[in-house]
Amino acid sequence: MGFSIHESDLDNEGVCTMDSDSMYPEIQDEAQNVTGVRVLAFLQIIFVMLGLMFGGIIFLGNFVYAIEGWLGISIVVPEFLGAWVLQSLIILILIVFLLRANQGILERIPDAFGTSFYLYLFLAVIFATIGWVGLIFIGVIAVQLLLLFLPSVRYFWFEEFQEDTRPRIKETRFTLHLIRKSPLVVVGIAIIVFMVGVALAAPWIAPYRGEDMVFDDIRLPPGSPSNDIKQNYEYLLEDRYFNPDIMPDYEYGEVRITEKYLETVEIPELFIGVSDLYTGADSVSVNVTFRIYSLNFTDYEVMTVAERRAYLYANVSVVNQHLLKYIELPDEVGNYVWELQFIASYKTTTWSANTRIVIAYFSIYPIHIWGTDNYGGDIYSRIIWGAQEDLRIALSVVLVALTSGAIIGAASGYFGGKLDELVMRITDIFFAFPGLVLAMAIVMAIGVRSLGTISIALMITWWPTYARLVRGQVLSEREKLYIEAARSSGASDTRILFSHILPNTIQPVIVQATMDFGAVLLVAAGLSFIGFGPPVGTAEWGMMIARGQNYILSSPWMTIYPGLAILVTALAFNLVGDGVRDILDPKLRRR
Amino acid sequence: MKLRDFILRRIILAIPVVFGVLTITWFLSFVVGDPLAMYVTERTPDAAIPGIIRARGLDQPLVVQYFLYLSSLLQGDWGVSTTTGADLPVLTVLAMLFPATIELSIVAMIIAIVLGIPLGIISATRKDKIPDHITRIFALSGVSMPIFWFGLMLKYVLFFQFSQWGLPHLPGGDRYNYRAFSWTPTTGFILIDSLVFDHNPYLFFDALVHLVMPGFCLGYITLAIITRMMRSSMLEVIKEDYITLAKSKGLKERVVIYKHALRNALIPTVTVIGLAFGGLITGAVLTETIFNWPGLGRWATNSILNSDIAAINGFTLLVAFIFVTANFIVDMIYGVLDPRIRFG
Repeated sequence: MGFSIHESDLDNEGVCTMDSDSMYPEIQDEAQNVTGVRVLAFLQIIFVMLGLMFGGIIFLGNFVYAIEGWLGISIVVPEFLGAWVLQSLIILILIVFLLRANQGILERIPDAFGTSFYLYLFLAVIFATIGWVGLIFIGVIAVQLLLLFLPSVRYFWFEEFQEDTRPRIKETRFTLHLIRKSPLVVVGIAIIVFMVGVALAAPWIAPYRGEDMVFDDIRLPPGSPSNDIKQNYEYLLEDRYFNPDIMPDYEYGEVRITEKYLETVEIPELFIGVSDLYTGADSVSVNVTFRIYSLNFTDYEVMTVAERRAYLYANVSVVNQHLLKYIELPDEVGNYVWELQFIASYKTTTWSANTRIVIAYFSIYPIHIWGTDNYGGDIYSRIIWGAQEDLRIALSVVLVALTSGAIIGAASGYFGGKLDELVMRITDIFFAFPGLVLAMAIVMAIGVRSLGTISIALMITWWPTYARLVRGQVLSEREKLYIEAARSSGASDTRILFSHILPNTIQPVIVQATMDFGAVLLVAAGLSFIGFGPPVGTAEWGMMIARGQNYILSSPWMTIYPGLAILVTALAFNLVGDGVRDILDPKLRRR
Repeated sequence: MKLRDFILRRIILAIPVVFGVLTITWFLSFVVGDPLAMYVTERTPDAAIPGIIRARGLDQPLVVQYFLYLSSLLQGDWGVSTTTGADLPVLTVLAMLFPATIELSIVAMIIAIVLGIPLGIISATRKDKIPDHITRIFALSGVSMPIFWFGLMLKYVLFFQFSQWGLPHLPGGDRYNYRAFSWTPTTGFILIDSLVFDHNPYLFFDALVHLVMPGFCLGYITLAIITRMMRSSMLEVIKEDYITLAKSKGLKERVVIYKHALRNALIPTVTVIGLAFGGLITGAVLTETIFNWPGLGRWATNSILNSDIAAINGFTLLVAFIFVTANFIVDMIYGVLDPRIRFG
């Protein structure tokens, strides 16, 4: 069937915008006089300016970077199509749509509110992936949403408008109620929130960095303490410049021995060391006396030298040695004071200006609670950092595939005809390959092994799913009466598509996207398992399993924990997707 | 639309897909490296290379190269693969390795169907009760299971730990016990060969035992998909009027479920089974790597890691054709089972 909108639309567009300007002049005036609206408009301007700048900067930055690469400085061809560029493009496009939707709210177009809401949410999610700068935008979004939702905004959220949206709000409340009642969905959401929290908090909760290798700790079973003493200094005196001319008589400080410390360290020891600050050479000789008192810091400070001597625990003198001198510490819980005194007669002769002195005691050994791998990487830390990498892949792939797939599918379904045939044949070709095989081939074609490459390969593999899904939805929605009404009231094709049809087809897409988070996680892990992953050493779950598979008989923990991480995360997404589908299904909804 | 027209339309629709797939593989051979690498190996003498370039038309314009590529594919010349150790034509290697993969896939499929359909029925008939919850979690964990990790864990527990505990344990890999038996492939399907040609039931049993773990590992995802599909379609069917009617006639629950509801609920499940068969080939890539299974998947992984372009192209083409064929057959079955599709 043919559509006659194409010719008539251009005329109607002009009429339509003119109408909305002139039809309700008093309401427009009223709306513009309210402070809430003014604040909203102001925020809007800031938001759009920042968004455009930020999106533009990322986009241009990558572009320049890529051109530099072509000029031969470095090869960054995949960066040109990188997730960041696509994200910034999406930000720009979404902000344009958001502006239109917010204009629609002021013009009292019923669906504009929902569209605007979804766009805000979507933008918030995208900004969340950008990092710290994105948090500012999320803050702005939160303020805008508050303004839109607060009852005080009903000045410009007109009575009828409220009337229109009331059933929708009621439905949303009912959905939330159903979600709260279904235990599996709640568990899934809890796991997802936990995992995202872990990924965001990785710098603070992971004892090691993802790429760290501790060669003394190779293949330790779960729960064993680290053998690597050097990494576990707790410095008492460090990086202190000692000028021989004005060298102090002595330095002192406090050592606290706790119960945990005694549990993990067999022989509590303390040592002093000297090294050249710039070269690191430790052959500098030193002349000091080192003492430990079983005293409180405060008691120590008020006592005289003679009084302190009664509490002396240990006393070591080092003369003309480049030292590494160990001193045994008291094997009891309590507070002690150490004291370092320079031996006066040698004071100025042997000391060079750029020497630093290190007094350290072995702190609590970090425990590898989930063991270590064959390079001495801490499995626990690597899983935490891996959560960041894997979730970032899943998020970027699903976001980009969903946006591009939805736009292509919607256009294809709405306009039909030859465009539809073409798009469907292209998706057919993509569906002819199993996802993993196609992704493998694309990674091969790009030729760079990185997380970005995996993301791009999976984006290319994944968009047809959404294109098909959205197309089917649009086809069934296109013929409905309210679309007819919108069309006959002169709405443009883009407006019908983006403000009327897409919001109504969003539910199955959201369900699909949720489940795809899990699927993308699995395929990405599979890709890096068979050797298409990021460079060796990157903390990524699939690569961790690949690293562990050769040692599975002697050290199974290398394989078990990362696999469980994948399983649990993917399961959580599937639980939520599955449950939400049942909840949103109108046939199963009220029974 | 008649059935004949329907089939014709499907065939016509499949043609552009096949061409798209061929084009993509041709494109790949360009992007990944040199298309010459498809026909040349390390053992090719340097003097022969200009001759090969001329014979293959690799010095011609791209359009000509494309059509030469297509024609050589159609003539059964798919290039030379080195991944197996010797320089063999890709088609020969595919024919050699295909039975192992198909055998594994079929066993996996049988496991999935035999377990999946009853589980789906149980889950649907006891909706929102404990069996339903257990089955759903089981099915969902199948969908979210990293198959390579699952295989490793199966191997660790059933092979290694059981042998540590002195229990009878399953073999950890390979198609059969190379030390105890010798087998020269006739059809390539070891289960058939051992019974029909070798008359060796011990070899048959040994091969069957070797199939259990990889079969279950590969079939688990399909099992999960089938269970979920069976559950949802059964739930749909149970709400229909004719089921209410059958119940109100006083028929027993069992009869209603297995005679009236099951047949109608099977229609969507059959399509899912067909589509999942294509997915099994993907799963085989990972499963075969873990269980050291001498099939297409392991070969494909190795060839990709070796940048063996002819092998990659051959595997991609074969898998795509299996996918297209499976989709086509599913469409046919669907069209036959549900006449409404044909008129849609």
